[in-house]
Formats: sequence, structure tokens, C-alpha cells
Amino acid sequence: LFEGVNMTIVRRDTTRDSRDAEKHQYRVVGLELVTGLKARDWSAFSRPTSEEAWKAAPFGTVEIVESGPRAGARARPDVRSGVLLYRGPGELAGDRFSIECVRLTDGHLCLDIAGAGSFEISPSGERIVFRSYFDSTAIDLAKLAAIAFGAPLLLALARRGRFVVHASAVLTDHGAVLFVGASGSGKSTLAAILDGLRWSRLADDLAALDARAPALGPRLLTRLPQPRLSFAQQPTWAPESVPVAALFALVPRSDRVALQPMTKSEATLEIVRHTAAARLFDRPLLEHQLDFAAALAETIPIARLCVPWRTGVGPELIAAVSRALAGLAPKGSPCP
Amino acid sequence: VIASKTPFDLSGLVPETTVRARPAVTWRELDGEAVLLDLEHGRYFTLNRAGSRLWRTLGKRRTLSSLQQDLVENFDVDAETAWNDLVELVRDLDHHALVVLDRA
Repeated sequence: LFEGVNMTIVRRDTTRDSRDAEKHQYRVVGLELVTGLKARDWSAFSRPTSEEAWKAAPFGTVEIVESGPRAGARARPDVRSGVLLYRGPGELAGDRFSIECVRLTDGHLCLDIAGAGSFEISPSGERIVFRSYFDSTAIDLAKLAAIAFGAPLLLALARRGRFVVHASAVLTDHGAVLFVGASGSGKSTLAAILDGLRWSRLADDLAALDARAPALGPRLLTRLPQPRLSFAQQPTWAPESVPVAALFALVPRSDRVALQPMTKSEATLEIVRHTAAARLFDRPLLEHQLDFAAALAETIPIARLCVPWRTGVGPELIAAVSRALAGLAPKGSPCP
Repeated sequence: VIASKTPFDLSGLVPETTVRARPAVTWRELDGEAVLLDLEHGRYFTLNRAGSRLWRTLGKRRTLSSLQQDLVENFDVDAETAWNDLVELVRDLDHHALVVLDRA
């Protein structure tokens, strides 16, 4: 299951070769991450001291290489050499950039960040190359690392069959329960409430999922840094892989706690809607994303969860979700 | 030349009109309902069971009359109801560029 990833960020330009000597290793989404840059706030995911634990899961390789600037004042890819997938604003590592994503004719995905450079993700998702502009001043090394572990990594992981969904998640007796919803729908708040009661938070906003092994069912890969959680709140205590028990789409501003069934086609679209970085996907990724979402919809219960945001609602939510997990949820009533 | 630039006249759908799925549209069926994905624009659509049953057959060019016949045979509807529902669906599919229409 854990066909992990070994990533290396190595600066190749003539002035910074000395940085190659310093490597940091992390365990992320069942993968080994090796980087010449220190990823801020990722120390909770440092390589475990136990070699046995480290070697327990086999892993593949994804390498991130910084190649240095291209010849010429600008490194922007030529859209004519590929298919433009997205052009517009994008938030990367907390900052807004003008970005462009192109599928090049050789199958690479090129994510261009105006004023900085571009990331090229190989067709197999095993290699990411960052090329800075000659006149780049917009991104320092820390920011470069933070960006590299964002959208470029999500694209590489998607090409390796792992999709990241904007969802919070908690660990229950039945496995991981995920909550998806639009920004502001309360998925982080809900996970925080449940974390303080009976269940434990596995994810705050980003849930990495692997649905490639039908015999195992969908799995939540817990080793993914949650940007808005503190060092102490990162779910490094959890097993690296947890079976997904159910997924709920939050319906805020309801009068009372209630569950509303969804058809599998609706559930598929709900998962598609909340997949991270999906607007940068090329055609093959879109097809794989559809397969991924359909596999989830086929194998786990998915329903709408109506949530009234008021004090003391936590136990009601736990009871409702527990009933759903036990297959006892009443059907048919719309959200109040 | 002018005629070739005129949009297809949807009100002119006739039994001999043919329809087929656009190659850039992929789909999956779940519990009898179809989820369509327009790979060119990254847009998704769903079809209910009746629509899904029709969509399944659109990998090849079909005439509206043969599709109407399918509906009559498989759903308990008369020919007129089947035709009206079929035209409505085909118009929707064409509006979203999910099918290719052609006169016989």
C-alpha cells in the first residue's frame, strides 16, 4: 500500500551547492521526504528514530530538484508547447500568486508562478523540477520549500494515485470519518469539537486518500502536515494508514442535527468538488480523480450532515454519526 | 458558407436526427445513475437512471427514433411522452456540448 515517495530538493546553481550537504528527512503520506531545505513546522514529521519503523513500508521515489534558472531573462513556459489547464490567481503557502498550469507536450505538468519560476512534474509523478527565473526575487528558500510541498506535491501525489481532499477527519471505533464542506462550513470547528469529546482529530483541512486497493478499501494516510494546526496538534500519534469509515458533507445553518442520504452519483461529485488542486489537473488526472471519487462513493457511506452551530452540539453530532456508522440513520428527511 | 456557420436548429430535431456522445466526455455509472465528465472543460454532470440508460448507448451514432423506441419499450410511457422527454434531454446534452448532433 505504501508505495511511498522519496523527495529531494537539491539546489544546483553555482552559489548554493553547499546546501546539498544538509538534508532533512520527513515521513509524509507514507513516503520518505528528503530535502535540502528545512520545511518550517514539519519537524513533527521527522523521520522516526526506529529504523524498523522506517523500513516497515516500502516506498517509491519522487525527487524534487531545483535546477537553477533557465537561459534567458524569463523562464515562463511557452503555452504553445502544450495545453493550458489553468491561468489565474492561486494561493500558495499562504500567499497569492498569479499562476499558470500547462500540460507540456512531453506529458510534464508545468506550474508557473509569476515572478518566481516554475515547477515541472514528471508524467509518472516521480520527479519535480523547480526552475527559477533569472530575475526572481519573489521567493526565498523557506517559501520555496513551503510552496513545493503544496500544489506541486499534490499534483505529483495525484499522478501516483493519491488524492488530497479538503476535509477534516476524526478517528472513531469504525475507522476515519471525514467531513467535507465549503470554506467556512465548519469542518475544522467540527473536528475540533469532536476531538475534545470522544474521538481524535486526524486532519484539520487536508486528507490524503488512497483508494487504489479495492480489497483494503479506501485509506486515510495520516502523515500530512495540517497547515493550521500547531506542532502539538499534528496527528503524528495516529497510525500511518486508517480505513475510511464514512464521509459526511456538512450542511451548515441547520436547525437541528440530521442526516440526509445522498445518491452515489451525488457523493461522487461531492468528493470531486473538494479535491485539492483539481483545477490544475490534466485529462488523465481528471479521469483518475473520477475513478477515485467513484470508488469512494461505491465503498463507504456518504451522507449530508446538517449541523446547527450552537453550544453543546458535540454529543448530538457524535450520536448522529455513530448511528450512521451503525447503519441506523433514518432516511429521507431533508435538512431542517 | 453562411448556412454552415448557423448554429444547429434545436427546434428542428426530427426522428432521423442522429446523436452520439462527444469523445471528450467520459463517464462512470453508479447505482444506475451516470456521472459525466467533460474532459475538455473539466465539468461534471449527472444523469438519472433513464438518462443513464440512454447515455449508455450513445457511444455509437443513434437516431432519435431508435432512442424513442428504446424508451417506449423499457419505460412505461407512450410514444409522444417518450419523444418529448427525449428531445428535452438531447437539448440539454447539446446545450452542455456533451453530444454531437447531425441531421440524417
